[in-house]
Amino acid sequence: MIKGKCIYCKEEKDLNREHAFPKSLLQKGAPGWVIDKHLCQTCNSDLAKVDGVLSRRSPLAYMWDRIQDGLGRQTKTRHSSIYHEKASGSNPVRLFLPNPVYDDHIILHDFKVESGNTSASVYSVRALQPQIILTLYSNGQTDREIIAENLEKFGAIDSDEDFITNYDEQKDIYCIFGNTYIFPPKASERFFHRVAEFKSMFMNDSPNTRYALYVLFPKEGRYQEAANDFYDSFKGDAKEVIEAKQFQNPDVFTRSIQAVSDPKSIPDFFRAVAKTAFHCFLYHYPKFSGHEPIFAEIRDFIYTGTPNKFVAQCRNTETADLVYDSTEHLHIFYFFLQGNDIGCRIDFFTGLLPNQFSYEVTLAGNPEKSHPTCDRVESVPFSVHPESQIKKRIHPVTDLGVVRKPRWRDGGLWLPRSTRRNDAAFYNNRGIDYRKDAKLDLAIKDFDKAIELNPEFAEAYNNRGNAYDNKGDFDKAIVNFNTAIKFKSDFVEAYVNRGVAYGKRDEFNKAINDFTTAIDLDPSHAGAYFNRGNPYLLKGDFERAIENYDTAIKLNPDDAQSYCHRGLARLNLKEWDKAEVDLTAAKNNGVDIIAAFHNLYRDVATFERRNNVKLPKDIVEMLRQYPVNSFTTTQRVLTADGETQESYAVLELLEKFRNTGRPLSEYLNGKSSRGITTGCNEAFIVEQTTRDALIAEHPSSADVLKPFLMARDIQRWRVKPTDESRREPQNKWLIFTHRGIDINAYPAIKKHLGKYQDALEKRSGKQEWYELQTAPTDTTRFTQPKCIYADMASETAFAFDDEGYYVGSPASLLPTSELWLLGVLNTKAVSWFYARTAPQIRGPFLKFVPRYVSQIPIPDMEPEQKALIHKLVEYILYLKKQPTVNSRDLKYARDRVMVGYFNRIIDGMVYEAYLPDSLHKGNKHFFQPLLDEQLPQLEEIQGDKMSVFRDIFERLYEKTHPVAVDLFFMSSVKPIRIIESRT
Amino acid sequence: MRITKIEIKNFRAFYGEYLIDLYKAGKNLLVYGENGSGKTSLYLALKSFLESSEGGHQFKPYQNIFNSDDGYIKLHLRADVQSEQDTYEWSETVMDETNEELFIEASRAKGFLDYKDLLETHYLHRENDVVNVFDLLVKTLLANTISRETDRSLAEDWASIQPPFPDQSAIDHIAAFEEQIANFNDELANRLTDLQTKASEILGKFGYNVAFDLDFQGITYNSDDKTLDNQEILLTVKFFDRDIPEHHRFLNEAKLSAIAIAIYFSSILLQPESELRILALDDVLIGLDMSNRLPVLDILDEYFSDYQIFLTTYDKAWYEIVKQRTSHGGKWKAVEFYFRQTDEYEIPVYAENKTYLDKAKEYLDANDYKACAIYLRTAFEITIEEFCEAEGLQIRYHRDRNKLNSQDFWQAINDQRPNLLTPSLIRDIELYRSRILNPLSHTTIANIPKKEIEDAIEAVACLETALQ
Repeated sequence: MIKGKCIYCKEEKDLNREHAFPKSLLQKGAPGWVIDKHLCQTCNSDLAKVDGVLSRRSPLAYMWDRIQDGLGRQTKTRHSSIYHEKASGSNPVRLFLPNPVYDDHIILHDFKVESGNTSASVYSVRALQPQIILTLYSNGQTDREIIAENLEKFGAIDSDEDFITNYDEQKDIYCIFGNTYIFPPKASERFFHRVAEFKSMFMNDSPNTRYALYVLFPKEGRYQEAANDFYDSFKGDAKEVIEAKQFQNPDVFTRSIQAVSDPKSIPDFFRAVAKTAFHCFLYHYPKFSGHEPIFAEIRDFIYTGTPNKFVAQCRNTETADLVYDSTEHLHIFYFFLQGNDIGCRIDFFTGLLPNQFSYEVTLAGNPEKSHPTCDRVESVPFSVHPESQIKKRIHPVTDLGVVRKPRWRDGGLWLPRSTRRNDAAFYNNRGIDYRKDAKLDLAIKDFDKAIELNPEFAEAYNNRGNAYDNKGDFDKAIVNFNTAIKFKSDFVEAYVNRGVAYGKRDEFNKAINDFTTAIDLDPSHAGAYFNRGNPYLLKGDFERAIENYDTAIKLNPDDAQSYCHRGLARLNLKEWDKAEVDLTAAKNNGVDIIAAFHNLYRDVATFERRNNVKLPKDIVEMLRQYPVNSFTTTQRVLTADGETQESYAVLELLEKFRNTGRPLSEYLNGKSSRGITTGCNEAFIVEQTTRDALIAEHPSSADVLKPFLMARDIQRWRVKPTDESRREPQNKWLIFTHRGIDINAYPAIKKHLGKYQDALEKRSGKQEWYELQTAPTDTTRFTQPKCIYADMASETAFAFDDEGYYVGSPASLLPTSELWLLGVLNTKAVSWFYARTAPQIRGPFLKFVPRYVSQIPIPDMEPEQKALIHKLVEYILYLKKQPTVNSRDLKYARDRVMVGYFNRIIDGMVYEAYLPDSLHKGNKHFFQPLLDEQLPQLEEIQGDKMSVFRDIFERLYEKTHPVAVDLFFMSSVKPIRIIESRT
Repeated sequence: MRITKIEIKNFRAFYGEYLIDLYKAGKNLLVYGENGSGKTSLYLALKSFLESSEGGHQFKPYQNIFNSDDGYIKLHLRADVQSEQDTYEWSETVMDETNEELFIEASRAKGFLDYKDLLETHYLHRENDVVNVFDLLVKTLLANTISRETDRSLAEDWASIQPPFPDQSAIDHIAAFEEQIANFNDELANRLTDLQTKASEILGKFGYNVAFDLDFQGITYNSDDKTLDNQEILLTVKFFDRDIPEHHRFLNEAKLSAIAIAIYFSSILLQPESELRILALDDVLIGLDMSNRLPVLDILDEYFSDYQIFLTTYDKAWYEIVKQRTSHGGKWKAVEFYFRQTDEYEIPVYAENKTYLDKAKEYLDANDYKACAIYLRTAFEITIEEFCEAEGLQIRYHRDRNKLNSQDFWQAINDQRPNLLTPSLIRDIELYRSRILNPLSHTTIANIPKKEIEDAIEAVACLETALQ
């Protein structure tokens, strides 16, 4: 502690150190600080006595600490302006709040002013060149929150170097403590002349921004005029100028201005305070009862009383029940309930301005009365300093429930931003939770934040690496593990994780090295041994693999995975009996050995072929089953807040669908693929007349002219509209000039395409100008019977084509002619599933792309069930070709209803296939009664097929027919109600 | 499956607790009720109860406004006389008991028609015996019928083609929209085909030897004016019997009402049947003249014998007829709801299986003087009314029977049966009529000593005995 003369009150007192500023600001490369000045506790604390404790909160004071930290001079007794400690234990530390007195001007240099008494306390830097110093508080944010946002705006700031950047003339700006920016001379000068740009960059995008602007520049020359203009242009913007000082001295001319948002919002602030108090209380006492009167009182002034009145009322309320006290910057609000058994005190710390405050809730109870929810005094700091010891009340945001739900920006609850934690550990922990829930992007965001707050946070790097690993981005994962290891060279888990990531990139030696390092660091790490076994297993070094698994099992006898892998390794060594023992042990302990096997060696046949062995029957039996669930994507729709949009029931149902079947891709002989992209439809797609003309011109043209379908020609079931009312001209033909075609063999085609040569040559890609942009050389996928679908539809709309149409992008095709599959796809069940797992676009439409379509789960069904669906699909396809069905004549309405009803019957059967238990429990059956019907196959129907269908329809449509009854009441089954609800 | 007991508390007009016992067999219910007596509330109680199964139905909006005690509706059901009785509740706090498949299915297949649904028939435009019933059918009578192939109700189909219409340039949307119109037309046309036959058959039971034709040509979308044209279902009647006089005036409101009822009945009958089948008709027969009401009873008998029927009316004469007609066979129970108004609240008066006097005593024991007075007054009024009716006394003529008040009956008894009542009883009754037994006395009832109310009950009991 230094004794000396305070720079403010000029009295001899105990002084603190205060007000540092890098010298490099004035002189490039100069080390040290511009001032190392002192001020007394007394006069300073006057301004902050609301706390009853000394607490100076100027940005400079904070900066001082950062500087001390940066210099490594951190001591146990921290600077009192930021932290203070009580004799016992820790108490909540308040976050920095702007102090109106200090914020007004930055004192850089002790400078005596000879004349006048008003400016006696002005100390300024001797500025040789103009400088702008700007502090921004946007939308009620605190400094730390601003940092993150603004870092992006200023590319010049290197996020790795905390918040203080060395002065660099080449850079446009640099910043001190995140939201205070110093513009070096060149940048300042530039901004003088581009005020509008400056404003839009820093202020206009947040209208509520409060800013403190300091302009320092030499008095002489052109600067003063420029500065006046600059100043005036800001003045106009401010809704209220609360301060506009002008200091002048022989060398320096400064101006400062502070603006606040609409002063009318101040009453709203009080209301917000009350609301927050209310919600805080509800949060801590969700099951309150018996306190209704006091709550009515609070509620009244929140929702009906005018805030000013509330303040006035509360100021006078000195009862034990409700106390409101306030100083300029602190509002204390507390009440005790039921004879003081329980109480709640909320302290609101406010800045000068309505947009900023932090608060703190203290709950108190009487231990003797042992209140159910509160039996002790508990302090709950809502604004917890990053380095505070108080961690127990740091909840994940989602736990805040009632406090969090109404967002401050939706006009309801005004929630201070300061409730967000500024704690790296908090973000790290929340990230871990997110990762557990498979919300990887959110997890990564949190780890980013944690790392931003603490750039040497090795654990966060490690966790971020894991998240990237889960996403399949092994490169990024490894970079993160590298950094984690850089900051913590004995970080065993990071080595293991990096090894796993290397393994996934097939870099086995690197992986083995990492596991070895981990084992060296921690010889009892069973996981490291297990993991080291894996690359050996994959490399084919089975003995070493088994050695490692042995050790892993010795260290952790419950490690079922090691048994499983050891078993697999032993299979390769043909140690059948031992392998079987291992695999059985693994299986009994919950390991999906089938999946593990299939991960390594697609299937038994592949394994046998590769190793040239024949597996014993009982082992084959253990391994040859279809995996229960082999879906690669488990999509969950997440809102911006990371909450799942779907209710739990929906998610459960989606899961049920996935579990009852295998993905569509497994049923397809080939992959689902996109249609042809021409790159220029005008040239390649021709009408019937053009086609005829081209063939007349040269008969060879017929070879390359193919019947063609566009996406919009595709509807549910049928591929081509045959009614006249459609706008689209029909009978299109594609000029199929695939890669490598000898164009000269088709002179008429060449001539035709020649008309478009310019446009065709501009297409991207390596094709010749007369070739299609993308077109498979293998055309069987088009000529074979297949299912096709358009890229957009409001429900699943798969069509069957056996007429060899070529399909244009963005339509796609499924290489299958299994009609029962088509039937399953065209149901409400699948539409529902797809709508919830695939990307949505444009209002009612869904986007259909092979990637998601191939993930549709197809339920397992008995052959006779498939045959039944097949029959009905055949009926529908036949009906769809009939003139009565394609007309819009209401005379034939019933024929069209028949198609819809057959489709509905398929809906019912497919529901039964997906959800047999639910339907049978609700006594709904479709397969059995329909099997009993003995419906004929299409080809078996002799004579007038239409009249046979009509008979079948009338029979099944009869209101007492069990199928009709169960269809009508099907939606009483809960899952179906969920699926079919149209709300 | 039938409803054996209905318990209602503080639901809409029902102030306090009410119980309607339909016995083990789950009888049909015939309700006579004055306006405001709660018969519509009973209708709505059943309807809301079933519809609450579809989720999202709060009890709160239905809460009786004069009584803040939480209300409920409880239904007791039996599959048959021998089986166990199950109780289901719907209230603000119990919301998922109705989510049973039983009620969801019953709600789908239920028939609930009230007089408001038929009011439309009075506004129909008609020309030369051709009536456009599009609005009546699409927006009212058939709105809730559900398509067997799309599982959408007609109302939903109709809503799906309402404005805003797609933009001219959005070809995909126009194509989709026209597809929806085509679907709507198909759905409606298909329904009308079935309905026409069934409804004509039912209409035959009214004694009209006619068949009617519902001509629907399909809605068309006029993309120039952005309108839905041809909203027409033309009802024409074909006469088999040429003897009907003035047949060009055949389609009057009453006959249109009959046709509407026939169409509604057929729409119910064309649906698959749920386990619990309920048909409730709230005052729907008032639009019919008396000669057309009786056939409805036959129709109910013939077509809805396996439904549980709830029939309400405010027409006392018609009630008596139905009561008499349905008294055989034990399938029906007839009850009467009265309406009593006090200065503070309105209350339906209904005493299940008890006399009003007993009910009054019950309320007195519960210290609810107000409710007690209401039942006591009802007991008094019903007693003298019934006496006058049974004895055929002459009552002052009043055009609206409901405007008759107790003075008219009391006067008639005293004038026309001068020596029947003892002077002391007359004196007592006169006294309590001014103190307790009149609508205006309910404000002050709280100040009247309990003893005096007990005496009043005693006096009314004596009166009942005397007038037996």
